[in-house]
Amino acid sequence: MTTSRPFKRILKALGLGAYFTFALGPVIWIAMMSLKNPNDVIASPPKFVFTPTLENYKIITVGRHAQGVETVRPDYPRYFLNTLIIASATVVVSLLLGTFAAYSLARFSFRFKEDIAFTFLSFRFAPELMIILPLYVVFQKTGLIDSYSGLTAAYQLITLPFLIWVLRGFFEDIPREIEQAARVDGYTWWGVFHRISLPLIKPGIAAVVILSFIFAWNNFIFSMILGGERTQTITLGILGFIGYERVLWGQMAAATMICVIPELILAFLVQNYIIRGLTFGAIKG
Amino acid sequence: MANIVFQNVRKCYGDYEAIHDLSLEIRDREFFVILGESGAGKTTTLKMIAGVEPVTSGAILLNSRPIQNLTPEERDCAMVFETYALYPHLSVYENIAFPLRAPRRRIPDDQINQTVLQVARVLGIDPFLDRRPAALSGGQRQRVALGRALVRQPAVFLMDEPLSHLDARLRNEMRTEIKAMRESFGTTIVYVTHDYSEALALGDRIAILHRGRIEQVGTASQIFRRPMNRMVAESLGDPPMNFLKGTIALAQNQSVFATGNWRIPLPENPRLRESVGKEVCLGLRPQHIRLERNHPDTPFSLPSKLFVQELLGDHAIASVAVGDRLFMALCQADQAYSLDEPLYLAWAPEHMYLFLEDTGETLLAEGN
Repeated sequence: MTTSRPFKRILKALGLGAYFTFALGPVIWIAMMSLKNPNDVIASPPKFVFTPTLENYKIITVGRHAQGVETVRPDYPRYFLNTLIIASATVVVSLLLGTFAAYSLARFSFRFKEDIAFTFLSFRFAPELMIILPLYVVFQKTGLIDSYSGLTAAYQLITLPFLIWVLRGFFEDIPREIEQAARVDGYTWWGVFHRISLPLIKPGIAAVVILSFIFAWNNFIFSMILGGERTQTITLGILGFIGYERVLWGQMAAATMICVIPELILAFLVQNYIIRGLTFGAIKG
Repeated sequence: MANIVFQNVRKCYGDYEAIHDLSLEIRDREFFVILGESGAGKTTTLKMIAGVEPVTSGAILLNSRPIQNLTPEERDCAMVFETYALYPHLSVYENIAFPLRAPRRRIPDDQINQTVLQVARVLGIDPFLDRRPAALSGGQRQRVALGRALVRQPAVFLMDEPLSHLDARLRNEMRTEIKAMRESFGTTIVYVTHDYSEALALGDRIAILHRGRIEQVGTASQIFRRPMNRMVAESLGDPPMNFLKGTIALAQNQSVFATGNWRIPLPENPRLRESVGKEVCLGLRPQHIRLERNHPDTPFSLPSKLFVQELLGDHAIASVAVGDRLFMALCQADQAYSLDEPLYLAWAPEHMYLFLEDTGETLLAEGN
């Protein structure tokens, strides 16, 4: 046993190293790219040692000025803001609708309950491309094309089923007797819901908020077809760096790096709530 | 002030009928115990009073007012759940204060604080008011669950096996505590347990629930001495009552219990007369049986052989074989018998029970 230990350790390190390269390699590559000047970006063989520059970041955020005249006006901040508005609205709407739907599916018995639950899930079966054409026609006729509310509604197709199914499981895990005890203690249904049930599924809410936000933030196809000039999102904006006669690799990489920041911040803020086993100790074990 | 009346209450879960036609009156300020094995419907009965399980049909009256359609928060019951059902995200303090913080009660904070601390002190949980339930032992959690009920002054206390998970010493302590508290509160208490000694010790009256039906309601001594049927007799007492099959026969114009070659005289009783020829069961409690080495000079005896003797501190339980049946008898700890030693069982005639074999109905009970 003792002789195999160093060998095991090396194997473990190699495995971890391989995974690290696989997972973070592209990110590091993009990060490097965002700090290169246009010549370094296309250099072959690729340069690992270069003079870093923040020029790319500057161009996409504040634009380029020559002799006090703005020569490049960046659209990127607007895309960023659009995405922030749509993704946040999507998460808020999903939470408002989904939490109650999940609770009802977890706790109440009514006709066609399982069918309804399955229908929610089935929204996720259909590939987005299949839904997008009919949805486009509907949006065209109702004037929802290129509107924040339209995109927020369309994004519910992605986030709502997911949120309902995850939160339903969390609600089902709350022992029924805890809610019964709170009723007997003198609280109405609503009182029990917001003082007992909701706090108990905080970890679930944290998880679905992060994931829904990421789904919405990264969505491409809905925003491409149902969005427009006014509501263009960041994913499409990044595509815009691929032009007819050239590709602005450096700026594209910088845009991608900035794009990741909100997701990272959210993940750090919410991860404290993702603690498993919060319900432990409620019911005798 | 609270009396509770069940009027023909039924409770079904789908096709399964958990409670059949339950009619019962629980009097004001009574300590009412529901005793039954697990699955008998005890918890369901409590939850129907509390309002967290709907009644399928029938009515429940609280002070003559039907409450079966009221929501739990309108009923003014406090309940201790067998599973504790503590709020895991709240501290012990907040768990106990929770009922007082209900918006409908509007109790000022300083008064809540005072009440919580007082209850915590009584229950001995004041050292860990800041902890979460997860950091407590089973016994501590049970006391928090009790505290959450005791912190209020409800019309009715509902207690579902509140002592079942405490160790023996603490259980006895809490039992005394509950009994004492009960005197000072003067509230109606409905208490569910599967432990007959707890039922006998605490209950003003006891209901024996068996498979969703009330078998008998009465005081401790009524149900212990005069059980209505064999089921009730069997569920009270540890070790349980011994039973021996036989028939009622006539010998010299007197009714006797006949089993094998043995005839045991029965008291003169018109009901026994009518039952001559019927299959019956003789019942004897272990503490009423004497073991004798020589034939006792009484017809109320049976021959047997010692099978096992278990020493239990100050007394012992002897298992003896009577024909193909095993009987248990309490005997002195210092009284040692040897294996297969022939012994006579003897008892006083007033300690005999007799039940009909088919219906279990009692023909003869203690004191005759």
